[in-house]
Order: sequence, then structure tokens, then C-alpha cells
Amino acid sequence: MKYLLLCFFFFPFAMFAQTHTISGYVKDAETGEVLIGANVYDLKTLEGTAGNRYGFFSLTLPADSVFLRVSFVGYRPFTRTFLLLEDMEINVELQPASELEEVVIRGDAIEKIEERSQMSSIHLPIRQIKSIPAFLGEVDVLKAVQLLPGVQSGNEGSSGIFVRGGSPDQNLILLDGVPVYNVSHLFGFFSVFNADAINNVELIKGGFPARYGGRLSSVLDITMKEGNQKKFSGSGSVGVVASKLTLEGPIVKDKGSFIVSGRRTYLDLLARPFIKRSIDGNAGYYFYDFNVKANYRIGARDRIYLSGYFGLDDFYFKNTDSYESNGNTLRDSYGAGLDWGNRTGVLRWNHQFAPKLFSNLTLNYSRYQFNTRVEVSEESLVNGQVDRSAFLLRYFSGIRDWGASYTFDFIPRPSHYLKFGGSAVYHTFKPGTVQLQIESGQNEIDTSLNNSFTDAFEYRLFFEDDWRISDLLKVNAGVHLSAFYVDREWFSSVEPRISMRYMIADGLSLKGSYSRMNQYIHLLTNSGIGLPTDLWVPATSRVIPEQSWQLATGLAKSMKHGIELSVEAYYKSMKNIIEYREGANFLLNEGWESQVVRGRGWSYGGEFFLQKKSGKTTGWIAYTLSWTYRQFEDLNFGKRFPFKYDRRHDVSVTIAHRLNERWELAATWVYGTGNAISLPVAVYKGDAGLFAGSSYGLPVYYYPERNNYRMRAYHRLDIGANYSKKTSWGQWGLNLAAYNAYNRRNPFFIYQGLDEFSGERAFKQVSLFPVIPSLALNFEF
Amino acid sequence: MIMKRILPLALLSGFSAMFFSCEMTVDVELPASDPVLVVNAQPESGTPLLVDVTLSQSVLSNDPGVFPPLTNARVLLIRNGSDSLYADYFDPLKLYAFPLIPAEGDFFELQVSHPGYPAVRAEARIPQALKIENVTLEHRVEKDRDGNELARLSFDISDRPDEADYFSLELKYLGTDSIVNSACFQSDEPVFFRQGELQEPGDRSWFCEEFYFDDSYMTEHPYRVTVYLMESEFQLARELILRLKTHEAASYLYRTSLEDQLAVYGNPFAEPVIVYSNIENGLGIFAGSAASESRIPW
Repeated sequence: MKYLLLCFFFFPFAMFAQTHTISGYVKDAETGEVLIGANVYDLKTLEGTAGNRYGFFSLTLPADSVFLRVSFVGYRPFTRTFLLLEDMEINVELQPASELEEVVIRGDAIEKIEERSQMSSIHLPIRQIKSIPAFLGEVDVLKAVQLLPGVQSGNEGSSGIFVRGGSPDQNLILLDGVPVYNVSHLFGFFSVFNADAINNVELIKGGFPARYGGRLSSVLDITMKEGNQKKFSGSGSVGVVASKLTLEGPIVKDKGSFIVSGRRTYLDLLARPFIKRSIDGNAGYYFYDFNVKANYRIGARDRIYLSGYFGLDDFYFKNTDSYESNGNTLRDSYGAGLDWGNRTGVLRWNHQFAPKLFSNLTLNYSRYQFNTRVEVSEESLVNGQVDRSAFLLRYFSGIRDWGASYTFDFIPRPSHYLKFGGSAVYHTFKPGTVQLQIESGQNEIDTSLNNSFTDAFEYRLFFEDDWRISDLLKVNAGVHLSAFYVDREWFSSVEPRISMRYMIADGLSLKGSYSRMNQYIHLLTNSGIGLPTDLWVPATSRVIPEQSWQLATGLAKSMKHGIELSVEAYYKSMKNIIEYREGANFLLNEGWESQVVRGRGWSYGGEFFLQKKSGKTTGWIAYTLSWTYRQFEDLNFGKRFPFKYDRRHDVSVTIAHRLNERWELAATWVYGTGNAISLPVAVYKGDAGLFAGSSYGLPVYYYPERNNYRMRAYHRLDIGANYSKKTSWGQWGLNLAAYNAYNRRNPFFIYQGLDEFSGERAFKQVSLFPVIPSLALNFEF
Repeated sequence: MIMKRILPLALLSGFSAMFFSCEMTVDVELPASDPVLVVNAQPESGTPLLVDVTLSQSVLSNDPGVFPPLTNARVLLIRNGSDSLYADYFDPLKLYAFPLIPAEGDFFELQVSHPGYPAVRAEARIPQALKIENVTLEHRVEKDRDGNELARLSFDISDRPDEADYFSLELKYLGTDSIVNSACFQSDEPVFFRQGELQEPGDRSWFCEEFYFDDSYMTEHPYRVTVYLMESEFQLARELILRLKTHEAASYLYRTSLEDQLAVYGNPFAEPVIVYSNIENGLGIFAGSAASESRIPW
């Protein structure tokens, strides 16, 4: 019966005889690193395909002579002519082109931007990310993503992203396919992703392929490097705030490799001598993260991967005072701390069932935990007797996932690329536990409040086909089914997805997409800047899953010199999104369901994106014109209001130019309409009962509506220069950068205060970062 | 060698960054907001109707807590759509007073005008006072965590099942010296907590002033409420006075949003709260209430 079903399913794709399949992997010739999305095509038939995220490709062609060409941006193309008489396996290693060499991407590449059915998707080469001027010497993936059209940054310096009017919790951020729940170090000033360990970054803002699900607004798919398969190598940097080191090499040459990459800040170490002088204790802050990945090829058709990420931010303070009184010794100590971090782990098995069928089995783990603690203790030594009292208060919260997924790529012929599979995730939500320990003399109290866990199960199935119907029309259609079980209650959704392109002229296509998305977990946040207190909670019968649909259309064109242009318009509608109720308690989350309100959101606008990925000069110009609103029955008295990050105009210009083999210059300029905030415009007398008949009264601040005021526009220029020099042992370089080069005082927040000169009350704008120069030393061996 | 040259530079630029990354302030220009009439009046059954009329001020006023009364306003009240009354400014109280006592079911339209400012209007209805019934008081029923003896006070609130009702509750006691004093009680009754407020399990919160609540958690009609009183606080009490006011929704929205605004005002990371107002073309509140009272011998 099952064979009958399989025959029925695959029959439409198997009915053409006299074809054979070429399959294999595309890799970098120098490192063995896979090249994700390389173009593989036959110049004779003009049939082709693209490699998947593991570098695997499969191309089925008629039994005939083949003129195979494999190309990837920034690499010299590979060509080979042969007679295709049987299924063949060809593993291709492409030689990187010199960055000074203009790699001519001829018009014969099949997956040019206008030919892809996928829209609202941007692929950022990691080399391009690294060329952007770094903030405090740290190259940041999320800060690079913020420069893309349709993506808004939050507050100054924050690495949070707001995609097409969505909130940060509506972004599915995947590291090697595993969701990362908190992507912020140092309250969002840095992201948790170490660029040295990353191979590929892809952002999808709309027209979501059916294989993705679980968030409303975007997918940021980050793939870690696999490690150098050819030779042992290393790289690192010493920067102003952090240093990092990456080591990689073969486990067995061309069969397996590993990569280990670590990063740590050291402001705490530098400041320790000064702190020691001022207090009898210690205080500081640091973060570290650590990426590790290994892979090994078992036979011709199997490869296993093991990868992990561990990161931690830690604030700590401890002070001890000892003194003598009437011959007795007294000792007081006070300590407080705050730490948070993610851990992820993935075990993956790639198996090639047949030249046309590739599978990927994944077991994964992800955990985010936030802890805060306060400790006070007193000890006294009186007449040889020790008397001790102590108080400890801890608060911790987090989320933990165990997941498994099994997905398949089936490429029956060049006009169809099928992906299907399923996944299951076991979530454990820990929405805020308070632990209290009190020790006083002989008495001890050790109690926990809200020490409960919520378990939930999430199941997903998907099917999609990237179908070239004709030379003019290509469609990616699919469906994503999902279900969520929590507290003996089921939620489910059916999410159709479709995106298509139609060639309206040579090199110019019209694209369109529609997608429905569903989100079963919510983020309780009051800041949108990735504070560690942000809390993930499951959908419940009172706070049901968030839903959205999005319609997008646009034009895409690729031009000479590797330049790509896309212009898109979109409309997105969201419902059941949540916000904290006015006056809600943000820290203690007992009864969180009653602290949030449910409502709707809309976003619409247009995006322009001109990108040059290769050559001596690379970069992009991005412009977004958008409108974003929210409406909640219980906020703003039910009236619609602009979203805080409703940004009418958002511009970014990023340019990097390599002068010669040693010097590269880069600059980034960003401009954005000011954030919408609520500011009072008048004050009046309130509470007549208490102050009736008095000239005095409780001042009530009058806000015409929520988010009634626009802060000043945000703009900033960052400049940077990279110097590199080859040596006998490798190469070293310097990264010089200036953040906010013309020292723009961009608004961070506004408060009421007194003018220093006149003494009159005034609104004061606080700006966070002036011009910040930075310097980092890089090395590779 | 390279490290020797680079490290001091890196440290220098790091500390420079920290030095320059201090807070900077610049003035922000806000659109001007013209003053408008502010009317505060909460007519209650059986109590003289008084109206407080002031002006709104610039938010940057140097004395935001001072609101001189507007003495020469024209204050008109239309009762039940027919009787029109003008209020006189009563200087000792610095309020406008109407020669009438509101009664349950009365509907009022208030119009206030003053040269130079837009005229304002508002409507209010005196609701039916919902009753406190079946009051029981039991002494020394239990002790709290600190060993204080507690009395238990239980009563029914005659909430209407098919209508949204809004209340405020206040506890006082008449002392042996014939002076009325405010009193506190503790409770973990869900009805006393507004949505979004924290109620720690097993812990009772203290209520010492008139507080507002609605009937969204009243699962039965009438709804029986239990509260606890600290026996030691009532040593000089002769009788307890339990006062339940029934409010219009506008009154409840005004009061709760005002409390919420006070709770977060000045916190740059909290979303400000907009205070409810039902005064057309102006600001303030005009909303009715009716009280019922129960006196229980201590």
C-alpha cells in the first residue's frame, strides 16, 4: 500500500524517461566550506538548479551531452563538458576570485534575482557584513540586517529588528536551524552572533516558503561555518571591548572538519583595579559566547553534524565591610547579580536516499534563562560566638525547547523542487520563579513562589514545490500545517503560502506573494530592545495565538556588474498581537495573562533595494516608505495609534571599496523618521474629590493620544577602514572605525527636566552615543 | 611588537569611548496646546452638586500643581432634559454649587463656558446604588503571619448579572470618642484586583483608602466578599462603617487611568497612561455615583 502511495505521489515527476541525474556538493576550494545556493546549470538546455543549505544539488537532464556550469558570487565559475549516460555524482570546488577581480556574472546564471520565485528575501554574504564599519570594533550581523529595506532598528545602538511593522518577538531567528530566543548581549548593544563563526545570513520578510513557520514577521536564517576541511587555520581579533578567536581544521582531510569560536568582553578585567580601590569587593560586567561545530562524512551519502552555541551576560556586584565595635567584630556583605544567556545544540544527519532525494534529520535543543539575585548577610563575632543572618532573593525565568525535524528535498526534474517534512518541539516555559532564603539565628526560611513550569508541544508539517511552469512563470506554492498543545488545549492552523514571478521583459520580472503565518508563543516585553527580563510565554485560551497575513508585489531586475534591484510593496495584517496593559507589573509575572491586552496591527508600504555584491565596490542603497499602526480595545481607549517604530522614511546607504590588496574603506549612512512616543501637551487639575475647592490639585498630564509625538529624525554616518597585510604566517590587519562620525545627537528618550540656564521646565532629550572611535586588530593564520 | 603598539591604542580608544558616552540633553519643541476648560464634578445621590472649574496649563508650567479656580464661568445644568439651573460661584469653597441634591436615576447635562475658551459640555447619570447585604462580623477567627489576631467581615454585594457595574469601597469606624476614622482591611478577593494587578498566591493585600473595582470577577450574583480586619486597629471602635459606591463607567475609567498614570509617570521606559476624560472640548470628569452604607456594631 505504501509503495502504491509513493508511486501515486511521485508519478507525475517520474513519467519522463531517458533522463539521468547529476548530483553533488558545491564547496569552496580553499576551505571546503559549502557554498549555499550555488547555481548549477546546463548551458545547452539552459536547465538548472540551486544548491541547498548543505551545498547539495541535483539536476536531472536528458541523456545527452552536458555543458555544466557551476557559479557562485565571488568565485570563479566551474565548467565541464561530458556525456550524460547514467546518474553521476560531481562534487565541485570553486576557487575564490580575488576581491580586486570583477567577477563577471554573465547572463547565463539561472537564479538571478528576477528569476527566483521567492520575493522579500535578502541574502547577505558574510564578507559584505564584515566590510561594514564595526561598532566598537565588533562586526554585528543584526546591525547589518538593520540596514536592509523593510527592517527598522529599535532604539539607538540596539540590535533588535522590527520587520515590516512587526515586533522583535515576531522574528524567527535561527542559528543552524535552531531558534535563538534572546539575541542580545549588553541590553541589545551587541547581538549574540559572532561573525567569525557564520557562513551565511538570509532574511525573509514576506512570501514565506512553507518550510518556515512559527513567527509572524520574518525569518532570519543564520548558518554557521562548518570548518576548514583542508587545513588547520585560525583567525581572531583584539578590539576595544572584546577579543575573539576562531580555530578550524579538518578532522580527517576532506571528510570532516571542526570549528571552535569564542568571544569575550574584558571591560570588567580592565576596570577591576579601579573598582578594587574604591570598594572592598568587586563589580563588573562581561559577556562571552562560544560556537562549536563539527561534521563528518560517513560514506558517499551520509554526513553528520554536531553544533552548539553557549553565551552568557553577567553583571555582578559584591561589597564587604568589616569593622570593630566594642571589641566585637562585625562583617556585612551585600551582593547582587544579573545574568542571562542562550544555549543551543544540534545533532544533524544528512542522508542522500537517491540522486534526487536528500534528507535532513535534526535533533535540537535551545534554552534561554535569565537569573537575578540579591544577597545580604551579616556576621558578628561577640565573645567568641558567631551570630549570622542572611537573606537571598533570586528571580529566574526562561524557556527550553527539545525538538526534532525530518525534512526532504526532492528534485525530480529541473522544473520542480519539492521540499516536505515535519517537526515536533517540546517547550518548557518557566515564567518567573522567586526564591527566598532567610537565615536568622536558628530560624531558616527557604521558599519559592510561582515555581511552576508550563509544558507545551508544537507540531509542524509542510509541503512546498518550487515549480517552473513555463519560461515566463515560476511559482513556489505550499502549505504549512501546525498544531500546539498546552494546558490540555489544542490550537491549530493551516497556512497557505504562494509566491510567484512572471518575466515581463528580458531581465525584469513581476513578483507577487501571499502568506499566512501563525505564532503560538508570545513575548512579554515592555521595551522592544531585548532586555533580559523579556519573557516568553505560550498561547493560552485567554491569550490565543497571533496570526497574520501578508500580500506583497514587486519588480526585480539584475544588471551588469552584479547589481541587483528590487522594488516591492506590501500590506500586512496582524491579529491577536499582545501588549502590556497600562499600569501592568513588568517583573513579577504571576497571572501574566491578565497583564496583557490583545489587539490588531497593520503595516503597509514600499521598499527599494539596490545591491552590489561583488567587485571592488560593494554595498547597497535601501529605502523604505511605510505606515504601521496598532489597535487594542483596552489601550488608547480603543482608538488606533501609530506603532512606536512606525517610521515613514527609512534610508540606508552602505558602501565598501577595496583600494588595493591592503586597504578597504567603508561607510554607512542611515536616516529614519523619529520614533513615535507619547508626550504630554498640557497639565490639568485632577481628582476633584480630594482637592475640590483648592488652588492645588493632583496634576494630570494630558496626552492627546498614544504615540502622539515624533522624536527628531535619526541619522548617523559610520566610517571605517580595514588594513590587511600578508605575512609568512598568515595575515594581520587593523580595523579602524568611527561610529556616528559627525556626532549627531540622536534621541534615545525624552523626559521633563529643568533647563540649566533659564531654570524653566523643559523637555530634555537624552542621546546615547556621540562619535565613538574604535580600533581592532585582526589576524589570520 | 605589534601587540605592544596596538594594545595601548586600543585601551586608549576604549576609555575615550566610555568617557564620551555620557548623557547629553537638548531642548525639545512641542506643539503649543491652548488652555481649555477643566471641569471636575462627580455628582453623588444625596450630596450637593459641586463643580470645580479650572484651566489646563502648559505642560512646561513651572508650577504644575497649582490650578487657580476660574471664578466667572457660566455653569449650566440641565436635569432630566428639562430643568435648567445655573450654578453660583461659592467663594468659601471655591466651587460652583447648584441648589439641588441629585437623586438616583437623575440624568444631567452640564455646560460650562467662559470668554476666551471653547465652551464644554458633559453628561452624567446617577446610577442606582447597589446594596451591601447580609453583613457578618466574626472576631478572632485567625492570626496573620505576624501573629496578629484577625476579625472576618463578610457581606454580599448586590451586583446585577446582566449589567457591567463599577464600585468603590471604603471602610471607616466610629470610635468611642465619636470621631470617624479611616480603617484598613486585608483581602485576597479577586474582585478587588483590577486586571493586570499582581495578586500573590496565599498573600493578602492591604486596602486603606477608597478603592475602585468592577464586577468582571463576580462569578455569582449577589457576590459574597470576605475581608479581614486586624483586631488591634479597632480597639477604640464602636461601629464599623462600610460604604459602597456604585459608579458610572466614566468615573471608574477616570479613576483607574489616573492611578495608572501616577504609577508610571516619569519612568522613561514605561508606556505613559492616558487619563480618561468625558468633557467635550475640554478636560476633566463629570460622572455620577450613588452610595449605600452599612453600619456594624464592633
